Amino acid sequence: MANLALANLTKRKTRTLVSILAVAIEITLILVLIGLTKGTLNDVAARIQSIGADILFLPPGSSSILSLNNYFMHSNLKESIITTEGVKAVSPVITWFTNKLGGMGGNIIFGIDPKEFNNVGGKLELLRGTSLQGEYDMLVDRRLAEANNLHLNDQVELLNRQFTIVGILKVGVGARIYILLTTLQNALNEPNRVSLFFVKCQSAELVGEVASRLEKSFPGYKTQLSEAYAEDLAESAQGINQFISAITVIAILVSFLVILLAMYTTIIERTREIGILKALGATKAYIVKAIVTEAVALSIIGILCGYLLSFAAQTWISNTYPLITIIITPTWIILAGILGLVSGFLGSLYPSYRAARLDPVEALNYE
Amino acid sequence: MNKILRTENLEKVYRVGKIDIHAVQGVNLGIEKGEFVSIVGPSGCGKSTLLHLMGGMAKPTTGRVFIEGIDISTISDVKRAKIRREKIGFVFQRFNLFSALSSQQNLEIAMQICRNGNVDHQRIKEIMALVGLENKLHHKPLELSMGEQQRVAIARALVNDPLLILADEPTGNLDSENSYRVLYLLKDLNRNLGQTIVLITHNQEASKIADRKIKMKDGMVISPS
Ligand SMILES: Nc1ncnc2c1ncn2[C@@H]1O[C@H](COP(=O)(O)OP(=O)(O)O)[C@@H](O)[C@H]1O
Ligand SMILES: [Mg+2]
Repeated sequence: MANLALANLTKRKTRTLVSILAVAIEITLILVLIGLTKGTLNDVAARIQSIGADILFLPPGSSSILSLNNYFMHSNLKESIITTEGVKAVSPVITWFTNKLGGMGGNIIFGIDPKEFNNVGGKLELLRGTSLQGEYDMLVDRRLAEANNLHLNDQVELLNRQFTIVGILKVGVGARIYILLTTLQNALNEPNRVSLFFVKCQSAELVGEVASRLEKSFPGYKTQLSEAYAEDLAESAQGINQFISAITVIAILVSFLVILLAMYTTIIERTREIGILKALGATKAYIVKAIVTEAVALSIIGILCGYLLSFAAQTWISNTYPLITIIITPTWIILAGILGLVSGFLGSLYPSYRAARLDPVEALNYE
Repeated sequence: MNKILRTENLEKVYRVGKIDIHAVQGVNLGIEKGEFVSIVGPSGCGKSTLLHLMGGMAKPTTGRVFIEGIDISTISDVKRAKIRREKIGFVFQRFNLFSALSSQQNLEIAMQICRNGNVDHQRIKEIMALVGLENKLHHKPLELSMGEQQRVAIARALVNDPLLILADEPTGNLDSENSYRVLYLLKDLNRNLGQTIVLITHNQEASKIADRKIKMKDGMVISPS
């Protein structure tokens, strides 16, 4: 039976190739889309966590996704936060979103006070150059610099001002672009505006207590534990997850339909062969199994091609868009494989049922 | 009398539009173990239909077919499939081999179907030797002559040691030399192995190879009457 299924695959090459391609694209779509979301979310979370602060103090109404925030607070809150019991250091940050310099949809800029940022743990590690000193100094991370072919002392225009790149940062701490807090505030014409405060506690055990104290003292304001940032971010990204689910479902449906069509044309084309099987005394179960086996074999080849295609896409995307990370996890490799198998299996069920029900004599006399 | 197959008032009516075609009507016949019987008659007289009824490929409109005493006209499709794989070996005019598979694989499929997936390669070799094709195990149908293809088909029919071989115009697509070879192969199988065979043909000459002849016309058996 396996012989028959495999022989049929090699006999109808175009049909086989199209079916394999459909499954491969299904797999690739799933793996790349999910890898893209995972990669982006992980990247964002890891950057925030690696700043080393314990708590993000956020204005009322704001979201965990910093780049989506349009909420601000007054910088004078800092004094009350720093005097809260258990707080060791506070660093006000103003964030700004720019569509410049690549990235998926743009980049977030942190306006910081370098000293205070370091005090909450934000060890900005310089690969080259110096820290922020002059008003129009700018730091960019290595990936962003490479992606835009930027070097030390290059000029970058931002907010109608000319900035000079004074340092190249190690990748992965906070934002990819840093300028001075006051510069960004002035540029926005909001000298007292702050987007968030990073808070460092006196010890790790105090983090929970400090967070609840802050929430009590500042009703409406939000505290986000750095530790829980990854999960909270994933939760805030529900919209993205729904989009991905929709695409996944469409990918599964398409490959299901292609397999259905391929197997359906196959059984019509091979009606006589099914008649022979019937004359040989094959049961309906045998015929169903023969056709499902063939579809599953197609799917398995398609899945393997899909894996190759996914890794190729991953490599291509990360070479073309260095700021984008795609994470393909073993879990999703397995899940995508299962989805591919299931759609191939389901797609072959109806055709195989039709084949099994054929009248033996009619099938045998089919021209 | 040891009748392995018996029909009782067998009728098959095809309805085409508003017309009833009585392809087989009132056929009563019996086949004994070890017999070589031919059924002859002009094209369209209902031979193939009769053979399909005898082999459990189709259900009669009325009447009954008994194989080893079991009425196969009333049993389920599943049981009829079991009768086909265990008791009947079909040979067709058009060979009906799987063209993508080698001779050996064609026989394997028949074996798998009958024996729940188990294949006896030794038996396949023996049967292929029996039909004189022991050196063509790995040839695909299109790499064989028509006569050879039909012999592979006969080997396939034999592979599960059937009670009865039903051959429908097995020489219909063959030249006279290959026709003789196939007919004498059947004759040998009957003589040497005691294989029961029913041969259907419209060719009077070919029918002579059998020990007993049944003549048909217009769906009925006309001789012996
Ligand atoms: N599926 C069918 N539908 C309608 N008529 C059929 C069908 N099969 C056979 N017949 C008719 O039944 C008669 C007997 O056919 P068949 O058994 O094939 O004869 P033979 O094998 O002797 O040539 C013919 O008139 C044929 O046209
Ligand atoms: Mg006929």
